[in-house]
Amino acid sequence: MNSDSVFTGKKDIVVYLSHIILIFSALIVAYPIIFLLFTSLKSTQEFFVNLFGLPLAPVWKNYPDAWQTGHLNMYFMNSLIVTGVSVLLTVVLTTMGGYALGKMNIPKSEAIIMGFMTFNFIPGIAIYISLYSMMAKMGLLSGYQALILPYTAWQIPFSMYIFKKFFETIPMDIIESSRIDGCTEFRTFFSIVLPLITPAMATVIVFNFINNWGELMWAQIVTASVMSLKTLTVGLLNFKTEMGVEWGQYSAGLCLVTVPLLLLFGYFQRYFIAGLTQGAVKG
Amino acid sequence: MIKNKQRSLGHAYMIKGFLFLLPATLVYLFFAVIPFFSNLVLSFQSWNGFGAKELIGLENYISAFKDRYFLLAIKNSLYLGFGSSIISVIVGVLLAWLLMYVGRRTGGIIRTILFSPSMIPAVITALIFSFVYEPEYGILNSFFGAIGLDSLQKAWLTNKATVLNSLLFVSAWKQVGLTMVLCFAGIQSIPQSLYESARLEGAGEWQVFRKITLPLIMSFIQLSAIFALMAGLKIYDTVLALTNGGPGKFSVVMPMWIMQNTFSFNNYGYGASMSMIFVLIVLLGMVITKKVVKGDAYEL
Repeated sequence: MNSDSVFTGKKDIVVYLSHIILIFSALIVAYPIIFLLFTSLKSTQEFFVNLFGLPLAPVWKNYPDAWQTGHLNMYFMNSLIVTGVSVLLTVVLTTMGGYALGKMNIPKSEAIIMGFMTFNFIPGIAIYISLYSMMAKMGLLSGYQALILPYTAWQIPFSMYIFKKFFETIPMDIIESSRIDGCTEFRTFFSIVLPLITPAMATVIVFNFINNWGELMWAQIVTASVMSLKTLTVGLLNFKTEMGVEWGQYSAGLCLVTVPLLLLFGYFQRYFIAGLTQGAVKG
Repeated sequence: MIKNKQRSLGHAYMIKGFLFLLPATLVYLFFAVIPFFSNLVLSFQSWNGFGAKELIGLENYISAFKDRYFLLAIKNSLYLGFGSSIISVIVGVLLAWLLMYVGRRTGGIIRTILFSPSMIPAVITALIFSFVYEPEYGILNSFFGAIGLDSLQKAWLTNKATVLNSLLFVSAWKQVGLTMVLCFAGIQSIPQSLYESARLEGAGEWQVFRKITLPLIMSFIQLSAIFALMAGLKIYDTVLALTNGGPGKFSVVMPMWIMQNTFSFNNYGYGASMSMIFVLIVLLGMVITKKVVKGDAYEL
């Protein structure tokens, strides 16, 4: 929205005040991260004498040290595998489900998706306790599937909702003509419909990625007995004790997990927001 | 004839449709719905995780309401939930409004910055804040020291007077961006002509905000209030990483106490009953927010 086209004349003060307040708020949000970046390049000695300033003698070694001491390699790989596979599975399941609900004459499809969405509000802990004993009994707790399968499932309601909404906007004619031409439903789905829903796909992927990447509680429950599965969030909890008082290293470690995320998500932010506002139309 | 054929075609698609829907439904049933109902059953039982389950009626629920740490946890979670909801809605709406007076480019950059905490895992934001609150070298105390206000320096996370509000700040800090972005989307959907005619009639900026913007974005405000409330009531990662419920058990929150009782003390039945109370509180909080923040849909 261009401010010039909307307003004319006497609101100069409002415009100045807006800039000041907004920039100030942005600083409050950004400052801890900037501080972290500065600190990540300081030696422990420099940290104590030069708390706020730019690093005078940058210690790049903090980064590889943090990666090593914090076991970030293992945590990072685990998070990547778990998140990647579960997001992929959710996308496969919910494009199909959303297509069925949006375009395949299922009666009461609105009520069905609302059922999923309502259930989605239930706090995780009310599911985890029994799920843990169920999965233990079935021997599902020892490998990656212990995290992948539940993560896949928990993202289904929202993702399917987004896909359903999106499929509904695709005109029926396109689908019918392909059906009449003798395409199977699978063929119609993959070659005609799927290419049309890239924006929804992006929203769902970004949204699920953020949620699964940041999940802590279930990962804690599962990895309490299977240490080798520890994801980044669980691993980071012990980060501070492992680093001791090496503030520079500690900050470097935090930067390693934060900054790439910020760059990546900063780029994809609009898809995340699009997903939220779409979910907002009826929540 | 044709009609009949169409109907039977529709019928065929419906059956195929259910087949398409089946995998997602089964996965969700198995990993969410069934465990939830089995949790409900478990909440009436006594179980240590290994031996036989024993039906004990309402006993778990009765002990829950006598458990002073659980009651404290409810109080803390409610405080953080409603607190961060109120703060993030007020600040978020104001920021969204002010964004209208800023050019597109500047506004975009500010939006990206303010929204970024929503996308970082809560554990990481909490660890970043452990830097802010650190008593000796933390940003906050060093800042007060630097400007000569040593009297304001506190042990933020170990002092009972400040710990909850320190957590509340982190929670609100994380939520504000989301509220702002949602409300900004709402503001953008308001037709410009409404503003123009109000201004032509001589309405001031504040009046325009009160009389036009605010009523028209109520449904977005309602939604962000619910999002913030849910996030605050379910807050766990942040508290775990910053205080682990301390000092003592002073800042314990519901999910944390349930986790401890279940997985550390092996009281699975008891944990289940507390988690059911938690579910009720969350649903109740949602209903209350929906009532208090009325989101009437306006036809635009």
